[in-house]
Amino acid sequence: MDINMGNGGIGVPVVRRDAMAKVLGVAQYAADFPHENTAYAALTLSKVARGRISRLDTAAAEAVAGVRMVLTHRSLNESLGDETFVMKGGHMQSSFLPLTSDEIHYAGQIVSLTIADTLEAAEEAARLVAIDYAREAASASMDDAGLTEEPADSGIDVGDAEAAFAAAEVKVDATYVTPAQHHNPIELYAASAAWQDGKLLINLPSQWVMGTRAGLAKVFGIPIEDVHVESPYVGGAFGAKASILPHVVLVAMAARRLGRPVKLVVPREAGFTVGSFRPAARSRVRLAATRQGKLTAVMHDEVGQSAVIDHVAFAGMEATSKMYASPNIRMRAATVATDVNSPGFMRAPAEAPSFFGFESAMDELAVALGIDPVELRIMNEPARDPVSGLPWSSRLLVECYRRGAALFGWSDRNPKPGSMVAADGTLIGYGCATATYPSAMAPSSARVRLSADGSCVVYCAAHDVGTGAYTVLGQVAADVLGVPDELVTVEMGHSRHPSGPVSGGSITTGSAGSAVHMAARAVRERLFATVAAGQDRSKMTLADRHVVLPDGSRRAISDIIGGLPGGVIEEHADWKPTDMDDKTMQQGLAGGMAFAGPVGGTHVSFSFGAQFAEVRIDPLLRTIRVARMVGVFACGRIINPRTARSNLMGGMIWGASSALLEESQIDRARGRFANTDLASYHFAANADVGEVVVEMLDEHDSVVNAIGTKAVGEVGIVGMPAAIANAVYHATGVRVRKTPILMEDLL
Amino acid sequence: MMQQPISFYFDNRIVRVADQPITATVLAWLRGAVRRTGTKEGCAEGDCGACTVIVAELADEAGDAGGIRAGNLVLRPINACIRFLPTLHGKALLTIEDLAGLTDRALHPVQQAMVDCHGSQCGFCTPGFVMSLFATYLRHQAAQTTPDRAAIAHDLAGNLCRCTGYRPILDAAARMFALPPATLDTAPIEAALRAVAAETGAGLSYAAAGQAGPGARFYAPREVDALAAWYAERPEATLLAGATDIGLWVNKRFRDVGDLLYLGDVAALRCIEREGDVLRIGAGATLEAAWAALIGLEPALGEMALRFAGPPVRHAGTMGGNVANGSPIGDAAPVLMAMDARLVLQHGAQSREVPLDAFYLDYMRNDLAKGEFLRAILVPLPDPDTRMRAYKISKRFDCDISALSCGLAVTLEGETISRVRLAFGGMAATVRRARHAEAALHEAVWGEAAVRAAMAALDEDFTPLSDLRASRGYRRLVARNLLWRFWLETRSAAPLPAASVRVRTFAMAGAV
Ligand SMILES: Cc1cc2nc3c(=O)[nH]c(=O)nc-3n(C[C@@H](O)[C@@H](O)[C@H](O)COP(=O)(O)OP(=O)(O)OC[C@H]3O[C@@H](n4cnc5c(N)ncnc54)[C@H](O)[C@@H]3O)c2cc1C
Ligand code: FES
Ligand code: FES
Repeated sequence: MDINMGNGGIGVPVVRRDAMAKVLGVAQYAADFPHENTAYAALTLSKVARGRISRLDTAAAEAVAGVRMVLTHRSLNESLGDETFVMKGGHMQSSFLPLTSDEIHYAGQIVSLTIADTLEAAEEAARLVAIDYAREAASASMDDAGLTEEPADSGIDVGDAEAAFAAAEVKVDATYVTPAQHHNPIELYAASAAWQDGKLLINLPSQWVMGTRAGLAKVFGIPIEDVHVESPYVGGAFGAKASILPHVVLVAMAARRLGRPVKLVVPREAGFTVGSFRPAARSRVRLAATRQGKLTAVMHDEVGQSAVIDHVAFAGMEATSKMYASPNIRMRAATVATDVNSPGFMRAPAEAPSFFGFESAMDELAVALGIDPVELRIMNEPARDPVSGLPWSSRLLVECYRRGAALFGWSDRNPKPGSMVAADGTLIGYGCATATYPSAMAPSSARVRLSADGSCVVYCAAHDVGTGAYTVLGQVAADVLGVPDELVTVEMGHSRHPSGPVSGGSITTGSAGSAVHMAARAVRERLFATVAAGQDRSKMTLADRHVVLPDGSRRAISDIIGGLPGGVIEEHADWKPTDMDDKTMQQGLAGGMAFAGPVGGTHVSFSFGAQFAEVRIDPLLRTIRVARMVGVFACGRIINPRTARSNLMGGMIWGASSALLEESQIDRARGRFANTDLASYHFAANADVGEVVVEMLDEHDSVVNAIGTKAVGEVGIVGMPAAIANAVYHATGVRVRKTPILMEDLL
Repeated sequence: MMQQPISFYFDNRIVRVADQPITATVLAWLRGAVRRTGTKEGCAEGDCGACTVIVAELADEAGDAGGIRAGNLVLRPINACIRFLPTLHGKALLTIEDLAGLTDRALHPVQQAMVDCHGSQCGFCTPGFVMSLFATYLRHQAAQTTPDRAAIAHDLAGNLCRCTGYRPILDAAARMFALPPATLDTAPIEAALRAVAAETGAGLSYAAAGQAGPGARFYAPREVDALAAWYAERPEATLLAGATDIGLWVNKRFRDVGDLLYLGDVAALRCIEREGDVLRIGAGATLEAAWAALIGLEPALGEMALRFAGPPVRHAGTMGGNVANGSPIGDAAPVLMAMDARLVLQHGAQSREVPLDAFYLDYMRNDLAKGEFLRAILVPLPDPDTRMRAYKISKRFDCDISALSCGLAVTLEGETISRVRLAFGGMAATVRRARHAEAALHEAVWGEAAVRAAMAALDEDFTPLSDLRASRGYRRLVARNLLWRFWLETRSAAPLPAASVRVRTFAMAGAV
């Protein structure tokens, strides 16, 4: 790997490239784009969870002044291309597109889209769409009676876990429950669509402009080049914006029919069912160990909530199976179909729920064994992946624990529950847990242009959903080309750019970054070739806008490029992960879902972290506060410590939020989500966040990809809920096996 | 009365708006009519703070001290999403787009600090945070102080961020004072507002062009008598104060509120003053101002005040509105009831006084007659021998509706309780006093035995419900334990320091 350190490029905490536009309020998000003559749309949503529309009357809605169209299942009647659910190889958020039939599959399903000259008229009309339903019994909760579990995969088996468990000296067998949750980025879902000469231009917040383009082209039966998806700024996504939400198709369709741009901003409440969510899950974890603390069996059965319209499982046993050395491993996933909108990816979709149970069980095992929870994990550190037997591309989990324990002051912990009490009676608890996240990769293209003045532009249809990709991808180019970071511009978030990967699964930096690296290297090669044909290029370097020749002499980039036709050097690169074949790569670059890893042909790649929490519990009121969190992570090379740290910290706060606050409550009688606003769907406010310490170990991974980076965006959340639950146990002696952990659970 | 356009200062000039419906929100107008899209929408109900803007008015017209002073202006951060546009009449509106223009640099120090400290990730919450920080900046600039971390956290309690984890934003708030300063030149704004005031006369009377009938009229008088007379004549109109409840009825419940009678421009209704041994809180005083005045009487109310919504709601909403709305989980009523507050109600030229503990008749029903309004809240100055606490229990520490809240007070003669008030919200259909528990304490010695008896008596007072916020069992247990805590904190021997239960202090340590 060749990385020029010290060029203001890789490893430097460069200030965000997009910060200025954001603090000025000029960064344009989807809902901010103006289109001439825009019509506004409003939604009407189903009040029942299951059944059929028995009567539909749009007369009153159509009579509202300024109303242009009321789109319902009756008026839709249009044949659309056969595009499917994102988890079945398509790009849609669901297999079911509302308005394509009179069936109701979930509460809050879109039953009409009203378009008018003004937003007020559209909203008024939307309320006047009169609908009766032939209602059927529905179950929106996986705990409802009469629902059956269906196996979701063939599972993972190493050795004979059942037998080992039966024979074990010390064991834990417990079930842990996590609720449905919604992403709730602060930005609302929005879309505005305009057609011109048969071409569709769509503004929406997207984590996948290439996929959205491919999907919409298919739905509308037009060439892929005729769809332009624009999403330069995304106001938080967390997985919510990685597929095509149904309203996007409907808005585009309305715009085509009206021959006029149409804009829709989805209200917060509607976002709970127009988009996806993290489904509820139940994990049964069985662990067995010798008295000395060596694991002899690891079993994890997870049942996840899925939807009748889309059976989909997000179980995280690919990760939990790899955590600790055990000769016997058995993992099973199942789902229970419910009458809800299709679940989808939400930050660490598989890992966050699974690790709550798994890492809580490890804590229970530590208690049963009388072994320190940190030591128990270190004792069971696997030298290789216990499932595939392959080596890790890098794994510094033990180092994370050692460093984290020191930073946190773990040695001050008295292991006896309830034994640590502040002078005023406040109960203090310390807990820890492991975090991990797979480092997958996807193919990506990029183009890099270097001009005579040393300025450099990076083009890639990747996305900055707040993570810092604008900054980081530019740093990769700056590093290779030896130009100061201020001269770099990054253009992303538009489907006209060279293909970029979905911004999901924490893959952007590694994948798009590798493509940028490759393109920048190609630019550099051309520069070297131009300046000194025939000289030994391996002895040439680039620094400070100069090429340094083997003899030490320097040639200014401006002179070299200035003399070229066009005055620029521009190179395109298509990058693919090592283990990927060309066909898959081409599919990926064309907007298909194409992942490699985390288990490759020769290595297994995950990011790791050790997380610690201190809770303080009021003995009278049982209110729980997280006073401190410490997370130490090993995520390969860190391109920008500032943005990486911020992602990890944000993730940890998500974890704390998940542990104590976040739950999409289900009104079981009515089969719908009950707390669909930010007043009652709680996530952490600033006072919920105590001291947070984040450290990243200096980890070198020469295998994972071209630039040595591993997953950063999601790993921060993964261990935190269990660390907090374990701390609550330590403070009170009460083991809460569900999240959120409420004050009531400690009565 | 003559119809006038809504006139306010915006974008460095006076703008006049005549075409908006009376419930058009400031946010909708900004983003739709004038395409100032820097201000964001994240919820449309005051929860997220993405829409935070600053509203400024002339200090001598404002009538209360709850805002931030700069020159002769009072400025307040508010939520544009639940603020109706006509209420801006005679005021100035500052948005994120105005900030850079206040300096000769590229960025205002608030913005520069946010850049330097990585306070913006996805950036969607950023304009709201910047405006809240701008309010903090102005306040401390005027007072020549710098806030500590706790004060900053309080100021940002009404802004949610889903990305950063808040630490970098708190860092930015500390840093902004270290950067070269920028000052707000208030003179042009003041001049413009004076001009509007002069042409407004007795008040704004507005109807959207081309609209008539109920729901079309907005009236904002400047004198109490005019307000009283108008309301007595048209009791079907909705009396509008800070709109932190009414804004939600319109945005979320699509309720038709009819004509609006706005009391926010009546300076006399916003006064807070001492009259003999009573503190008189005008019904139109903002929550921010009213709580500050109450804390002046009883410092132990500080935490309750801070946890009552966030600053943008407290700067817009009124204590009168909170009391009049009469939610069973409203936070002001238990406190005021424990202080023996009385209400001054006015109908036309008539006024009467009722004790607050007789005001609530049933769930969301009070003793106000048609066309009658709340004019002031009278709070007797506490006896020096009174020990008081207020507690709020909610799922989320900040910015959350209470599961339960209470105002608890005992007045002691020696160690004997001569007066006791235990008022609870969240335990019944209205906020009310726990008479059985009070009886158990009355004339008893302020000691463990009496407290235990009062705790037991609470079961006779209340049969709380289970709901999304808390279960009946939790409410019961915690109501009792709050009495116990009250005693621990106020007993004469070795009282527990209040600070030890004030958990927000944890949030103050920085990230490393
Ligand atoms: C995000 C958010 C958080 C909140 N948090 C809390 C909280 O923590 N605790 C809490 O208790 N409340 C909370 N509230 C509600 C609180 O802000 C309101 O109850 C507020 O105090 C009402 O005052 P207002 O001036 O906004 O009233 P408005 O919304 O203008 O009016 C409310 C009602 O009172 C009537 N009214 C107003 N003034 C008078 C008067 N003088 N005479 C007669 N009737 C009158 C109105 O006609 C209307 O019926 C919150 C609200 C929001 C949006
Ligand atoms: S948009 Fe959320 S508070 Fe106004
Ligand atoms: S930066 Fe994304 S919500 Fe705050």
